[in-house]
Amino acid sequence: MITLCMDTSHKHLTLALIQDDQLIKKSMTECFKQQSETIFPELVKLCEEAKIKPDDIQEVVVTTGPGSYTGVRIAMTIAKVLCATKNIPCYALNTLQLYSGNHAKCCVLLDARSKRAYFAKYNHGEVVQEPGVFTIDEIQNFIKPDEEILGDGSLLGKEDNYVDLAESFLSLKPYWEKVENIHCLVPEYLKSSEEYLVK
Amino acid sequence: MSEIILAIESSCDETACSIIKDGKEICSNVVSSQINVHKKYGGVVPEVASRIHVENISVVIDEALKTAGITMNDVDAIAFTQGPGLIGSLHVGVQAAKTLAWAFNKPLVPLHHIIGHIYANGFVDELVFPLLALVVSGGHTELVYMKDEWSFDILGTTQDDAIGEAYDKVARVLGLPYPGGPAIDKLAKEGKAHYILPTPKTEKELDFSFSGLKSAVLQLIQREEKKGETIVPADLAYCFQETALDTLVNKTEKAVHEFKPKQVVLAGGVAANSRLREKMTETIGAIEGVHLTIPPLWCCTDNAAMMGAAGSVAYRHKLFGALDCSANPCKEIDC
Ligand SMILES: [Zn+2]
Repeated sequence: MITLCMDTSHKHLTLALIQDDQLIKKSMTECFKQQSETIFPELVKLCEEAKIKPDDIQEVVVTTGPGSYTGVRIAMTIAKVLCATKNIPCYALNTLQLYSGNHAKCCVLLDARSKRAYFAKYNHGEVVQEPGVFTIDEIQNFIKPDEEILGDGSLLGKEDNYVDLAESFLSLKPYWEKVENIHCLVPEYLKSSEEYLVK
Repeated sequence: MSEIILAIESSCDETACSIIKDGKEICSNVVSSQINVHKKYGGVVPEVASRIHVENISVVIDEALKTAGITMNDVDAIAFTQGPGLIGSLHVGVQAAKTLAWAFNKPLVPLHHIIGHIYANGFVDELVFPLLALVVSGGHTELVYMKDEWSFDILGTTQDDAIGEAYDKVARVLGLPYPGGPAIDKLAKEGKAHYILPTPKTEKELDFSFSGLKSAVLQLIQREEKKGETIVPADLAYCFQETALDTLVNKTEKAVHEFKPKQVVLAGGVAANSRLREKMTETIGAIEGVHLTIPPLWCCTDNAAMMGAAGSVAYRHKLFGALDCSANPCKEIDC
Protein backbone atom coordinates (compact mmCIF):
# COMPACT_ATOMS: atom_id res chain seq x y z
CA MET A 1 0.00 0.00 0.00
CA ILE A 2 1.56 3.31 -1.11
CA THR A 3 0.22 6.55 0.35
CA LEU A 4 0.94 10.00 -1.00
CA CYS A 5 0.87 12.78 1.63
CA MET A 6 0.68 16.45 0.66
CA ASP A 7 0.66 19.73 2.55
CA THR A 8 0.78 23.16 0.90
CA SER A 9 -1.18 25.10 3.45
CA HIS A 10 1.60 27.19 4.96
CA LYS A 11 5.03 28.31 3.82
CA HIS A 12 6.34 24.78 3.30
CA LEU A 13 5.64 22.35 0.53
CA THR A 14 5.70 18.89 2.04
CA LEU A 15 5.37 15.67 0.12
CA ALA A 16 5.80 12.20 1.55
CA LEU A 17 5.42 8.66 0.28
CA ILE A 18 4.51 6.09 2.85
CA GLN A 19 4.65 2.38 2.16
CA ASP A 20 3.14 0.09 4.77
CA ASP A 21 3.89 2.30 7.78
CA GLN A 22 7.34 3.24 6.50
CA LEU A 23 8.28 6.66 5.20
CA ILE A 24 10.00 5.78 1.92
CA LYS A 25 10.60 9.25 0.44
CA LYS A 26 10.02 12.80 1.58
CA SER A 27 10.48 16.30 0.30
CA MET A 28 10.16 19.46 2.37
CA THR A 29 10.84 22.78 0.74
CA GLU A 30 10.20 26.28 1.92
CA CYS A 31 8.45 27.91 -1.01
CA PHE A 32 5.76 30.25 0.16
CA LYS A 33 3.57 31.33 -2.79
CA GLN A 34 5.59 29.12 -5.16
CA GLN A 35 3.78 25.89 -4.40
CA SER A 36 1.75 26.01 -7.59
CA GLU A 37 4.86 25.89 -9.80
CA THR A 38 6.91 23.66 -7.52
CA ILE A 39 4.58 20.87 -6.46
CA PHE A 40 4.56 18.79 -9.65
CA PRO A 41 8.31 18.93 -10.39
CA GLU A 42 8.86 17.88 -6.74
CA LEU A 43 6.28 15.13 -7.02
CA VAL A 44 7.82 13.79 -10.22
CA LYS A 45 11.27 13.79 -8.59
CA LEU A 46 9.95 12.08 -5.49
CA CYS A 47 8.26 9.31 -7.45
CA GLU A 48 11.32 8.79 -9.64
CA GLU A 49 13.56 8.46 -6.59
CA ALA A 50 11.13 6.04 -4.99
CA LYS A 51 10.82 4.20 -8.32
CA ILE A 52 7.05 4.39 -8.32
CA LYS A 53 4.58 5.53 -10.96
CA PRO A 54 1.44 7.61 -10.40
CA ASP A 55 -0.55 4.40 -10.83
CA ASP A 56 1.19 2.84 -7.82
CA ILE A 57 -0.33 5.43 -5.47
CA GLN A 58 -3.23 3.74 -3.68
CA GLU A 59 -4.35 6.45 -1.30
CA VAL A 60 -3.81 10.14 -0.58
CA VAL A 61 -3.59 12.17 2.63
CA VAL A 62 -4.04 15.92 2.38
CA THR A 63 -4.14 18.76 4.90
CA THR A 64 -7.36 20.73 4.99
CA GLY A 65 -6.12 23.93 6.61
CA PRO A 66 -6.39 26.31 8.28
CA GLY A 67 -3.62 28.20 6.52
CA SER A 68 -3.06 30.21 3.38
CA TYR A 69 -6.34 30.00 1.44
CA THR A 70 -4.65 29.69 -1.94
CA GLY A 71 -2.06 27.31 -0.53
CA VAL A 72 -4.58 24.90 0.99
CA ARG A 73 -6.48 24.79 -2.29
CA ILE A 74 -3.40 23.68 -4.25
CA ALA A 75 -2.85 20.30 -2.58
CA MET A 76 -6.57 19.83 -2.07
CA THR A 77 -7.38 20.31 -5.75
CA ILE A 78 -4.73 17.74 -6.64
CA ALA A 79 -6.05 15.29 -4.03
CA LYS A 80 -9.66 15.71 -5.15
CA VAL A 81 -8.94 15.29 -8.85
CA LEU A 82 -6.47 12.43 -8.33
CA CYS A 83 -8.72 10.44 -5.98
CA ALA A 84 -11.86 11.06 -8.02
CA THR A 85 -10.39 10.04 -11.37
CA LYS A 86 -8.25 7.17 -10.05
CA ASN A 87 -11.02 6.08 -7.71
CA ILE A 88 -8.72 5.76 -4.69
CA PRO A 89 -9.43 6.72 -1.06
CA CYS A 90 -8.54 10.11 0.36
CA TYR A 91 -7.81 11.05 3.98
CA ALA A 92 -7.86 14.50 5.55
CA LEU A 93 -5.69 15.91 8.31
CA ASN A 94 -5.91 19.32 9.98
CA THR A 95 -2.90 21.52 9.19
CA LEU A 96 -2.34 22.57 12.82
CA GLN A 97 -2.46 18.93 13.84
CA LEU A 98 0.20 18.13 11.22
CA TYR A 99 2.38 20.95 12.57
CA SER A 100 1.96 19.52 16.11
CA GLY A 101 3.98 16.50 15.03
CA ASN A 102 2.57 14.13 17.63
CA HIS A 103 4.38 16.12 20.36
CA ALA A 104 3.13 16.05 23.94
CA LYS A 105 1.43 19.14 25.42
CA CYS A 106 2.03 21.54 22.56
CA CYS A 107 0.56 24.76 21.19
CA VAL A 108 0.62 25.26 17.43
CA LEU A 109 0.32 28.65 15.85
CA LEU A 110 0.51 29.64 12.19
CA ASP A 111 0.40 33.17 10.83
CA ALA A 112 -3.05 34.25 9.69
CA ARG A 113 -1.84 37.81 8.88
CA SER A 114 -3.18 41.10 10.30
CA LYS A 115 -1.64 40.26 13.72
CA ARG A 116 -3.70 37.13 14.04
CA ALA A 117 -2.81 33.45 14.01
CA TYR A 118 -4.42 30.06 13.69
CA PHE A 119 -4.05 28.35 17.00
CA ALA A 120 -4.77 24.97 18.58
CA LYS A 121 -3.43 22.74 21.34
CA TYR A 122 -2.57 19.07 21.02
CA ASN A 123 -1.29 16.27 23.19
CA HIS A 124 0.25 13.47 21.12
CA GLY A 125 -2.01 14.40 18.22
CA GLU A 126 -5.13 14.55 20.32
CA VAL A 127 -6.98 17.86 20.30
CA VAL A 128 -6.76 19.77 23.59
CA GLN A 129 -8.02 23.09 22.20
CA GLU A 130 -9.93 23.18 18.89
CA PRO A 131 -8.35 25.16 16.02
CA GLY A 132 -9.41 28.78 15.87
CA VAL A 133 -8.18 32.14 14.66
CA PHE A 134 -7.15 34.59 17.39
CA THR A 135 -5.20 37.80 17.92
CA ILE A 136 -1.61 37.44 19.09
CA ASP A 137 -2.60 38.96 22.46
CA GLU A 138 -5.31 36.36 22.95
CA ILE A 139 -2.86 33.61 22.11
CA GLN A 140 -0.30 34.90 24.66
CA ASN A 141 -2.91 34.32 27.35
CA PHE A 142 -3.73 30.78 26.20
CA ILE A 143 -0.21 29.44 26.55
CA LYS A 144 0.83 27.79 29.82
CA PRO A 145 4.51 27.75 30.90
CA ASP A 146 4.91 23.99 30.50
CA GLU A 147 3.58 23.87 26.92
CA GLU A 148 5.82 23.61 23.88
CA ILE A 149 5.28 26.21 21.15
CA LEU A 150 5.33 24.92 17.59
CA GLY A 151 4.91 26.66 14.23
CA ASP A 152 5.40 30.39 13.77
CA GLY A 153 6.87 31.05 17.23
CA SER A 154 8.35 34.30 15.88
CA LEU A 155 4.87 35.82 16.13
CA LEU A 156 5.34 35.61 19.91
CA GLY A 157 8.94 36.82 19.82
CA LYS A 158 10.27 33.27 20.06
CA GLU A 159 11.97 31.00 17.51
CA ASP A 160 9.97 29.48 14.69
CA ASN A 161 9.75 25.79 15.45
CA TYR A 162 8.71 23.39 12.73
CA VAL A 163 8.55 19.63 13.14
CA ASP A 164 9.48 17.26 10.31
CA LEU A 165 6.15 17.44 8.54
CA ALA A 166 6.72 14.29 6.49
CA GLU A 167 7.42 12.28 9.65
CA SER A 168 4.42 13.96 11.19
CA PHE A 169 2.11 12.62 8.47
CA LEU A 170 3.20 9.10 9.41
CA SER A 171 3.07 9.50 13.17
CA LEU A 172 -0.41 11.00 13.00
CA LYS A 173 -1.81 8.13 10.96
CA PRO A 174 -4.43 7.33 13.65
CA TYR A 175 -5.85 10.83 13.02
CA TRP A 176 -6.20 10.55 9.25
CA GLU A 177 -9.87 11.07 8.62
CA LYS A 178 -11.40 9.09 5.79
CA VAL A 179 -13.14 11.34 3.24
CA GLU A 180 -16.49 9.68 2.55
CA ASN A 181 -17.32 11.66 -0.58
CA ILE A 182 -14.31 13.13 -2.33
CA HIS A 183 -16.41 15.73 -4.14
CA CYS A 184 -17.55 17.17 -0.80
CA LEU A 185 -14.03 17.71 0.57
CA VAL A 186 -13.44 21.43 1.21
CA PRO A 187 -10.77 23.42 3.06
CA GLU A 188 -11.24 24.65 6.62
CA TYR A 189 -10.86 28.38 6.20
CA LEU A 190 -12.12 29.45 9.66
CA LYS A 191 -13.65 32.42 7.86
CA SER A 192 -17.01 31.90 6.23
CA SER A 193 -17.82 33.09 2.71
CA GLU A 194 -20.68 35.11 4.19
CA GLU A 195 -18.11 37.43 5.76
CA TYR A 196 -17.26 38.62 2.27
CA LEU A 197 -20.72 40.12 1.88
CA VAL A 198 -20.50 43.89 1.67
CA LYS A 199 -22.57 45.32 4.47
CA MET B 1 -6.43 12.30 -37.56
CA SER B 2 -8.70 12.12 -34.58
CA GLU B 3 -8.10 13.56 -31.16
CA ILE B 4 -9.99 13.80 -27.89
CA ILE B 5 -9.30 16.81 -25.69
CA LEU B 6 -10.34 17.18 -22.08
CA ALA B 7 -10.58 20.90 -21.36
CA ILE B 8 -10.84 22.77 -18.06
CA GLU B 9 -11.93 26.38 -17.61
CA SER B 10 -11.92 28.23 -14.26
CA SER B 11 -10.78 31.77 -15.04
CA CYS B 12 -13.68 33.60 -13.44
CA ASP B 13 -16.94 32.33 -12.01
CA GLU B 14 -17.68 29.13 -13.93
CA THR B 15 -16.08 25.79 -13.08
CA ALA B 16 -16.21 23.88 -16.34
CA CYS B 17 -14.94 20.73 -18.00
CA SER B 18 -15.61 19.49 -21.50
CA ILE B 19 -14.66 16.62 -23.77
CA ILE B 20 -14.15 17.65 -27.39
CA LYS B 21 -13.52 15.31 -30.30
CA ASP B 22 -11.66 16.56 -33.37
CA GLY B 23 -12.06 20.17 -32.33
CA LYS B 24 -15.74 20.30 -33.23
CA GLU B 25 -17.75 17.51 -31.70
CA ILE B 26 -18.92 18.26 -28.15
CA CYS B 27 -19.04 14.92 -26.30
CA SER B 28 -19.79 16.69 -23.02
CA ASN B 29 -19.86 20.25 -21.74
CA VAL B 30 -20.33 20.57 -17.98
CA VAL B 31 -20.54 24.05 -16.48
CA SER B 32 -21.11 24.74 -12.82
CA SER B 33 -22.10 28.38 -12.68
CA GLN B 34 -21.61 30.55 -9.62
CA ILE B 35 -23.79 33.35 -10.92
CA ASN B 36 -26.47 32.98 -8.25
CA VAL B 37 -23.90 33.18 -5.48
CA HIS B 38 -22.24 36.26 -6.94
CA LYS B 39 -25.60 37.96 -7.42
CA LYS B 40 -25.90 37.95 -3.64
CA TYR B 41 -22.50 39.64 -3.36
CA GLY B 42 -23.26 42.17 -6.12
CA GLY B 43 -20.35 40.96 -8.22
CA VAL B 44 -17.64 38.33 -8.29
CA VAL B 45 -15.72 38.21 -4.99
CA PRO B 46 -12.42 36.53 -5.95
CA GLU B 47 -11.97 34.57 -2.70
CA VAL B 48 -15.55 33.31 -2.83
CA ALA B 49 -15.13 32.31 -6.48
CA SER B 50 -11.95 30.34 -5.66
CA ARG B 51 -13.75 28.53 -2.86
CA ILE B 52 -16.55 27.42 -5.13
CA HIS B 53 -14.06 26.27 -7.77
CA VAL B 54 -12.30 23.92 -5.36
CA GLU B 55 -15.68 22.65 -4.19
CA ASN B 56 -16.82 21.81 -7.71
CA ILE B 57 -13.71 20.88 -9.65
CA SER B 58 -13.64 17.10 -9.17
CA VAL B 59 -17.35 16.56 -9.71
CA VAL B 60 -17.31 18.64 -12.89
CA ILE B 61 -14.44 16.57 -14.34
CA ASP B 62 -16.14 13.34 -13.30
CA GLU B 63 -19.38 14.34 -14.93
CA ALA B 64 -17.71 15.45 -18.15
CA LEU B 65 -16.04 12.03 -18.51
CA LYS B 66 -19.21 10.12 -17.62
CA THR B 67 -21.45 12.13 -19.96
CA ALA B 68 -18.99 11.63 -22.81
CA GLY B 69 -18.91 7.93 -21.99
CA ILE B 70 -15.11 7.78 -22.01
CA THR B 71 -12.30 7.18 -19.54
CA MET B 72 -9.08 9.12 -19.08
CA ASN B 73 -7.34 6.50 -21.22
CA ASP B 74 -9.26 7.73 -24.27
CA VAL B 75 -8.11 11.32 -23.76
CA ASP B 76 -5.22 12.59 -25.92
CA ALA B 77 -4.44 15.84 -24.14
CA ILE B 78 -5.49 18.10 -21.27
CA ALA B 79 -6.23 21.69 -22.27
CA PHE B 80 -6.79 24.39 -19.68
CA THR B 81 -7.17 28.12 -19.29
CA GLN B 82 -3.86 29.46 -18.00
CA GLY B 83 -4.99 33.09 -18.05
CA PRO B 84 -5.99 35.82 -18.03
CA GLY B 85 -8.46 35.75 -15.16
CA LEU B 86 -8.68 35.76 -11.39
CA ILE B 87 -5.49 34.25 -9.98
CA GLY B 88 -7.16 32.18 -7.25
CA SER B 89 -9.75 30.83 -9.67
CA LEU B 90 -7.16 30.00 -12.33
CA HIS B 91 -5.02 28.13 -9.77
CA VAL B 92 -7.73 25.53 -9.21
CA GLY B 93 -8.15 24.72 -12.92
CA VAL B 94 -4.39 24.72 -13.48
CA GLN B 95 -3.73 22.25 -10.64
CA ALA B 96 -6.58 20.04 -11.81
CA ALA B 97 -5.20 19.99 -15.36
CA LYS B 98 -1.66 19.24 -14.17
CA THR B 99 -2.96 16.46 -11.93
CA LEU B 100 -4.64 14.74 -14.89
CA ALA B 101 -1.62 15.26 -17.12
CA TRP B 102 0.72 13.80 -14.51
CA ALA B 103 -1.49 10.98 -13.28
CA PHE B 104 -2.46 9.76 -16.74
CA ASN B 105 0.68 10.76 -18.61
CA LYS B 106 -1.01 13.13 -21.09
CA PRO B 107 0.34 16.27 -22.76
CA LEU B 108 -0.71 19.57 -21.22
CA VAL B 109 -2.03 22.38 -23.42
CA PRO B 110 -2.07 25.80 -21.69
CA LEU B 111 -4.41 28.28 -23.35
CA HIS B 112 -5.32 31.93 -23.42
CA HIS B 113 -8.95 32.41 -22.42
CA ILE B 114 -9.76 34.78 -25.29
CA ILE B 115 -8.65 32.26 -27.90
CA GLY B 116 -11.29 29.95 -26.49
CA HIS B 117 -13.97 32.61 -26.93
CA ILE B 118 -12.95 33.09 -30.55
CA TYR B 119 -12.93 29.35 -31.26
CA ALA B 120 -16.42 28.98 -29.74
CA ASN B 121 -17.64 30.29 -33.09
CA GLY B 122 -16.21 27.17 -34.71
CA PHE B 123 -19.07 25.16 -33.22
CA VAL B 124 -21.63 27.03 -35.30
CA ASP B 125 -19.77 28.12 -38.39
CA GLU B 126 -16.72 27.18 -40.43
CA LEU B 127 -13.89 29.55 -39.46
CA VAL B 128 -12.24 31.20 -42.47
CA PHE B 129 -9.02 33.18 -42.30
CA PRO B 130 -8.04 35.95 -42.19
CA LEU B 131 -10.54 36.48 -39.43
CA LEU B 132 -11.37 39.42 -37.21
CA ALA B 133 -12.83 38.83 -33.75
CA LEU B 134 -14.55 41.38 -31.55
CA VAL B 135 -14.10 39.98 -28.04
CA VAL B 136 -16.35 41.59 -25.46
CA SER B 137 -16.86 40.46 -21.87
CA GLY B 138 -16.55 41.43 -18.22
CA GLY B 139 -12.78 41.23 -18.50
CA HIS B 140 -12.10 41.97 -22.17
CA THR B 141 -12.72 44.37 -24.99
CA GLU B 142 -10.46 43.47 -27.87
CA LEU B 143 -10.21 43.38 -31.63
CA VAL B 144 -8.15 40.34 -32.55
CA TYR B 145 -6.90 39.71 -36.09
CA MET B 146 -6.02 36.16 -37.10
CA LYS B 147 -4.27 35.80 -40.44
CA ASP B 148 -4.43 32.02 -40.02
CA GLU B 149 -5.60 29.50 -37.47
CA TRP B 150 -2.94 30.07 -34.82
CA SER B 151 -1.87 33.66 -35.26
CA PHE B 152 -3.20 36.46 -33.07
CA ASP B 153 -2.69 40.19 -33.44
CA ILE B 154 -4.38 42.52 -31.00
CA LEU B 155 -5.48 45.46 -33.13
CA GLY B 156 -7.11 47.27 -30.27
CA THR B 157 -7.84 46.81 -26.60
CA THR B 158 -9.41 48.75 -23.75
CA GLN B 159 -7.35 51.42 -22.07
CA ASP B 160 -9.33 51.17 -18.83
CA ASP B 161 -12.55 49.25 -18.08
CA ALA B 162 -13.79 46.30 -20.10
CA ILE B 163 -17.19 46.77 -21.68
CA GLY B 164 -18.82 44.30 -19.28
CA GLU B 165 -17.35 46.16 -16.31
CA ALA B 166 -18.78 49.42 -17.63
CA TYR B 167 -22.20 47.78 -17.87
CA ASP B 168 -21.92 46.51 -14.29
CA LYS B 169 -20.89 49.91 -12.95
CA VAL B 170 -23.64 51.80 -14.77
CA ALA B 171 -26.17 49.18 -13.66
CA ARG B 172 -25.14 49.78 -10.05
CA VAL B 173 -25.65 53.54 -10.50
CA LEU B 174 -29.11 52.85 -11.93
CA GLY B 175 -29.91 50.50 -9.06
CA LEU B 176 -30.08 47.48 -11.37
CA PRO B 177 -28.99 43.99 -10.24
CA TYR B 178 -25.73 42.20 -11.08
CA PRO B 179 -24.83 41.23 -13.78
CA GLY B 180 -25.45 44.61 -15.36
CA GLY B 181 -25.38 43.60 -19.02
CA PRO B 182 -28.70 41.74 -19.31
CA ALA B 183 -30.41 44.22 -16.95
CA ILE B 184 -29.41 47.29 -18.98
CA ASP B 185 -30.13 45.55 -22.27
CA LYS B 186 -33.66 44.80 -21.08
CA LEU B 187 -34.36 48.23 -19.62
CA ALA B 188 -32.95 50.02 -22.67
CA LYS B 189 -35.66 48.45 -24.83
CA GLU B 190 -38.17 50.71 -23.07
CA GLY B 191 -35.97 53.80 -23.38
CA LYS B 192 -35.59 56.50 -25.99
CA ALA B 193 -32.89 58.92 -27.14
CA HIS B 194 -33.52 61.51 -24.46
CA TYR B 195 -30.00 62.08 -23.13
CA ILE B 196 -26.71 62.63 -24.87
CA LEU B 197 -23.46 61.06 -23.71
CA PRO B 198 -20.05 61.81 -25.22
CA THR B 199 -18.50 59.27 -27.59
CA PRO B 200 -15.43 57.74 -25.87
CA LYS B 201 -12.11 58.93 -27.32
CA THR B 202 -8.86 56.99 -27.49
CA GLU B 203 -5.38 57.86 -28.67
CA LYS B 204 -5.22 54.92 -31.06
CA GLU B 205 -8.16 54.53 -33.37
CA LEU B 206 -8.86 50.86 -32.67
CA ASP B 207 -8.47 51.03 -28.90
CA PHE B 208 -11.41 51.31 -26.52
CA SER B 209 -12.14 53.30 -23.38
CA PHE B 210 -15.17 53.08 -21.14
CA SER B 211 -14.28 54.71 -17.83
CA GLY B 212 -15.02 58.17 -19.23
CA LEU B 213 -18.45 57.00 -20.33
CA LYS B 214 -19.22 55.73 -16.86
CA SER B 215 -18.16 59.08 -15.33
CA ALA B 216 -20.29 60.89 -17.91
CA VAL B 217 -23.31 58.87 -16.76
CA LEU B 218 -22.64 59.89 -13.14
CA GLN B 219 -22.19 63.56 -14.09
CA LEU B 220 -25.38 63.52 -16.12
CA ILE B 221 -27.33 62.19 -13.14
CA GLN B 222 -25.85 64.87 -10.84
CA ARG B 223 -26.60 67.61 -13.39
CA GLU B 224 -30.22 66.52 -13.75
CA GLU B 225 -30.64 66.26 -9.99
CA LYS B 226 -29.31 69.80 -9.56
CA LYS B 227 -31.89 70.97 -12.04
CA GLY B 228 -34.51 69.20 -9.95
CA GLU B 229 -35.23 66.75 -12.76
CA THR B 230 -35.77 63.05 -12.09
CA ILE B 231 -33.73 60.68 -14.18
CA VAL B 232 -35.60 58.33 -16.50
CA PRO B 233 -33.61 55.11 -15.95
CA ALA B 234 -34.80 53.47 -19.18
CA ASP B 235 -33.70 56.49 -21.24
CA LEU B 236 -30.33 56.60 -19.52
CA ALA B 237 -29.88 52.85 -20.05
CA TYR B 238 -30.79 53.32 -23.72
CA CYS B 239 -28.39 56.19 -24.15
CA PHE B 240 -25.49 54.44 -22.38
CA GLN B 241 -26.04 51.25 -24.35
CA GLU B 242 -26.25 53.01 -27.72
CA THR B 243 -23.08 55.02 -27.05
CA ALA B 244 -21.11 52.05 -25.73
CA LEU B 245 -22.16 49.64 -28.47
CA ASP B 246 -21.68 52.17 -31.27
CA THR B 247 -18.01 52.49 -30.35
CA LEU B 248 -17.65 48.70 -30.53
CA VAL B 249 -19.33 48.44 -33.91
CA ASN B 250 -17.69 51.52 -35.42
CA LYS B 251 -14.22 50.34 -34.49
CA THR B 252 -14.93 46.87 -35.79
CA GLU B 253 -16.08 48.43 -39.06
CA LYS B 254 -12.88 50.51 -39.28
CA ALA B 255 -10.77 47.40 -38.67
CA VAL B 256 -12.67 45.50 -41.38
CA HIS B 257 -11.93 48.21 -43.94
CA GLU B 258 -8.29 48.42 -42.93
CA PHE B 259 -7.46 44.71 -42.55
CA LYS B 260 -9.94 43.13 -44.98
CA PRO B 261 -10.78 39.88 -43.13
CA LYS B 262 -12.94 37.24 -44.81
CA GLN B 263 -14.86 36.61 -41.60
CA VAL B 264 -15.85 38.60 -38.53
CA VAL B 265 -16.85 36.81 -35.33
CA LEU B 266 -18.35 38.11 -32.14
CA ALA B 267 -17.13 36.52 -28.90
CA GLY B 268 -17.44 36.75 -25.12
CA GLY B 269 -20.22 37.33 -22.61
CA VAL B 270 -21.35 40.68 -24.00
CA ALA B 271 -21.89 38.96 -27.37
CA ALA B 272 -25.17 37.84 -25.78
CA ASN B 273 -26.39 41.47 -25.80
CA SER B 274 -29.38 41.65 -28.13
CA ARG B 275 -28.70 45.22 -29.27
CA LEU B 276 -25.06 44.47 -30.06
CA ARG B 277 -26.13 41.49 -32.16
CA GLU B 278 -28.57 43.74 -34.05
CA LYS B 279 -26.01 46.45 -34.63
CA MET B 280 -23.32 44.00 -35.77
CA THR B 281 -25.75 42.38 -38.20
CA GLU B 282 -26.87 45.76 -39.58
CA THR B 283 -23.39 47.21 -40.01
CA ILE B 284 -20.83 44.43 -40.35
CA GLY B 285 -23.27 41.95 -41.90
CA ALA B 286 -23.88 44.45 -44.70
CA ILE B 287 -20.24 44.74 -45.73
CA GLU B 288 -19.65 42.89 -48.97
CA GLY B 289 -17.17 40.03 -48.97
CA VAL B 290 -17.29 39.62 -45.19
CA HIS B 291 -19.04 36.74 -43.49
CA LEU B 292 -20.35 37.61 -40.03
CA THR B 293 -20.82 34.97 -37.33
CA ILE B 294 -22.99 35.76 -34.33
CA PRO B 295 -22.52 32.92 -31.83
CA PRO B 296 -25.53 31.29 -30.15
CA LEU B 297 -26.14 32.34 -26.56
CA TRP B 298 -24.77 29.12 -25.03
CA CYS B 299 -21.25 29.79 -26.26
CA CYS B 300 -21.15 33.45 -25.20
CA THR B 301 -20.66 32.67 -21.51
CA ASP B 302 -17.55 30.93 -20.22
CA ASN B 303 -17.44 27.19 -20.79
CA ALA B 304 -14.78 24.54 -21.34
CA ALA B 305 -16.04 23.40 -24.76
CA MET B 306 -14.58 26.53 -26.29
CA MET B 307 -11.25 25.85 -24.57
CA GLY B 308 -11.40 22.33 -25.98
CA ALA B 309 -11.94 23.65 -29.50
CA ALA B 310 -8.95 25.97 -29.14
CA GLY B 311 -7.06 23.17 -27.39
CA SER B 312 -7.48 20.88 -30.37
CA VAL B 313 -5.78 23.37 -32.66
CA ALA B 314 -3.00 24.00 -30.13
CA TYR B 315 -2.59 20.24 -29.72
CA ARG B 316 -2.12 19.79 -33.47
CA HIS B 317 0.46 22.58 -33.35
CA LYS B 318 2.12 20.71 -30.45
CA LEU B 319 1.96 23.73 -28.15
CA PHE B 320 2.53 21.82 -24.94
CA GLY B 321 3.19 23.13 -21.46
CA ALA B 322 5.38 21.66 -18.72
CA LEU B 323 4.29 20.48 -15.28
CA ASP B 324 5.87 23.54 -13.67
CA CYS B 325 3.64 25.97 -15.51
CA SER B 326 1.37 28.07 -13.35
CA ALA B 327 -1.65 30.30 -13.61
CA ASN B 328 -0.91 33.57 -15.35
CA PRO B 329 -3.56 36.16 -14.52
CA CYS B 330 -2.08 38.66 -17.01
CA LYS B 331 -1.32 36.17 -19.77
CA GLU B 332 -0.85 37.77 -23.17
CA ILE B 333 -1.99 36.26 -26.43
CA ASP B 334 1.14 34.90 -28.06
CA CYS B 335 1.85 32.11 -30.45
ZN1 LIG C 1 -14.73 34.74 -20.80
